[in-house]
Amino acid sequence: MTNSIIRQCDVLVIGSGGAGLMAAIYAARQGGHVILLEKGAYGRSGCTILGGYSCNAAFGNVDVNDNPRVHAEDTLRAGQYINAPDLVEIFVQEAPQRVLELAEFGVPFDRKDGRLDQGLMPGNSYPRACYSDFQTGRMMMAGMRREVRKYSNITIYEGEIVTHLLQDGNQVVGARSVRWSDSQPCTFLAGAVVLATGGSAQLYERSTVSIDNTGDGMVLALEAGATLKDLEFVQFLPFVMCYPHLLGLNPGTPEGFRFVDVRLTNNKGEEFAEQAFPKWRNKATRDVLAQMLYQEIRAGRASPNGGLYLSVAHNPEQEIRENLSAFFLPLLKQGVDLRKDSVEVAPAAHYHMGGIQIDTNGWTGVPGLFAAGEVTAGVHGANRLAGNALSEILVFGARAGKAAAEYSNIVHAAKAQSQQGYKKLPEWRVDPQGLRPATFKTRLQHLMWNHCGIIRHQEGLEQAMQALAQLRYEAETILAISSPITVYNREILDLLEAKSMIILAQVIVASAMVRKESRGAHYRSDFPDMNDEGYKANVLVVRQGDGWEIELSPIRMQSQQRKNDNE
Amino acid sequence: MNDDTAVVKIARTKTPGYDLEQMATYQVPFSAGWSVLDALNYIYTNHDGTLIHPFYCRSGFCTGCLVELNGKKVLACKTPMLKEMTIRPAEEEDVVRDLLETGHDLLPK
Repeated sequence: MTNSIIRQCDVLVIGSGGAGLMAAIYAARQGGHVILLEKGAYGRSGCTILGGYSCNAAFGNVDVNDNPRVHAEDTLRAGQYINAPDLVEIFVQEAPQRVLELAEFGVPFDRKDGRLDQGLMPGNSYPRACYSDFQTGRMMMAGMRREVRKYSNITIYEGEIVTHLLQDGNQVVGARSVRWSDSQPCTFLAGAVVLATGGSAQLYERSTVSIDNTGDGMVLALEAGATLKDLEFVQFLPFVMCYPHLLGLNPGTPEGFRFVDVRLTNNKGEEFAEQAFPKWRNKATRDVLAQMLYQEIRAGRASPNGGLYLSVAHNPEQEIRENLSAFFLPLLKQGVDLRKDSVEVAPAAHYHMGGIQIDTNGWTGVPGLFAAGEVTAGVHGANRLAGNALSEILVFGARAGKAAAEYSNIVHAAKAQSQQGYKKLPEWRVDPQGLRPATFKTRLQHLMWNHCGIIRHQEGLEQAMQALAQLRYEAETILAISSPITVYNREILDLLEAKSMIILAQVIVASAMVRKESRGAHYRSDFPDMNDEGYKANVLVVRQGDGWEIELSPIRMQSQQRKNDNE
Repeated sequence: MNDDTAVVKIARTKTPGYDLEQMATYQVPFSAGWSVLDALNYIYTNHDGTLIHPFYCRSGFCTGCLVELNGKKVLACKTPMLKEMTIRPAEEEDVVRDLLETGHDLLPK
């Protein structure tokens, strides 16, 4: 391998989902050269296209009582008050402007009497979800891609798998990648880097996310010296299809069945939720529902396919057709008649609230390194309010892109040869008898699902730690690709992802061990109550040599610190 | 052929430094609930790590898994698997390897 491919730019954006595109657009408006890297395919990879419905912005178009203040309160309540208040404030204030900007990009948000229509989502006090048919994320991405095309100073490279960030001292000055098309290493030098690589739900056996959601950016940031925060908070959706296997429909489709009355039964025909939580339909949050379903499945009362039965058949036909119009016909085409058939559902990982700690400009605290979107932490705290993800990527993608461009204007372009990590090459072994990356990933996903998933406890987490240590050893010794092909080899991509996933898994488990309470999406059966005294705090992880250091940072001390800083 | 087995033929491309059959045949467990994409992933995971077939969202949004199945263009994630499948790239001229192509774009403009 050679070091021949070197490209220079002012701002390097890694990841081409919604946060990455907004960052690229806002950076390009400052006039410099922007390079956008995507490890998969531009426009196809990433989770933004999967955003089915809601993009929150407190316009108050449908109910005049809504405003950014109420939106902030709802967001903090959902996040159990460990959100970063400054990020929440910026988010609720700027979400309406960014959504209007997307409408200017040509995104056809649904309208009523000329104004953007807004739907009511669970946990929100008022209707504030803007939407575009039932493919809001896809339409938003189309609009942002049209906007990207207007900037000749944005260059896009697909199939670039970033393996580490380049640093001059601690200043981030670029990234190294492996080009998937020919396995050549590439160097990208930049005045500033924006990580917009998305979440990590692929660490779990069952998930609703796209294949690339492997948490790469969190590990890149950790290794560069940034702080990771609240990684223990992973959101699980309760009602994710497990049988029949949905063809080409979002696996989270049954979530939408709640627009009519639903019946949830186990393999004995018992309405188990009724017994545990009589008002669950209106009152139970997603995390509580996910726990109920998970417990029922673990107790051996699941269907032969491992799920629970969800039915809407007892509703009048007209209501099923009208209120579930987005699902009724597509499901009927696949042989599922909601007028008489039930479907089988089980919880699945959906969103990672934790991630890289940032300030209001998306700065990570490491010079030259910015981040935006699901890869970051702070806006959502311990749990995410439905509808906040699609507008978060707009607000903070824009802010991080602009701040990165401004930063790159004041630093000098780096020289490749002088950078730490420049000569470091990603390594993989070829061994037809080795441990295959696909097998490795499956084992890791299984471990995380069983021991660091919906219900956690000390013993399970300790087991997970041990098993992950073994897996990490195997990653360094026997993990190998099975053929020497260097042209578009999926095993190389899987292997590089796997090596990053194992590190992230260890840090998530370590974070879950530190938080000895239950809050939001983090449920510990050995500490089932919320403990504000000890844990109204963020769990912070910082690299320390080859390992890391974990610290509990109480919210009240952070606000005291802010107060002191302002004086 | 066993009742619960499907036979999958896949058009492969010549790859520098590696000898691949032009038309490879695999046996996969047949399941009525499985999609064509599930069958392809089964082959990659259990039989042949050299197979390249693109897919990203698994949910019919990204359109990355477009292939030609028994002469008809389909999204692999949206199509139930069959007992006998011949799978080719959707547009032969855009192929970079196996079923991976550049070019076509079915996403909203």
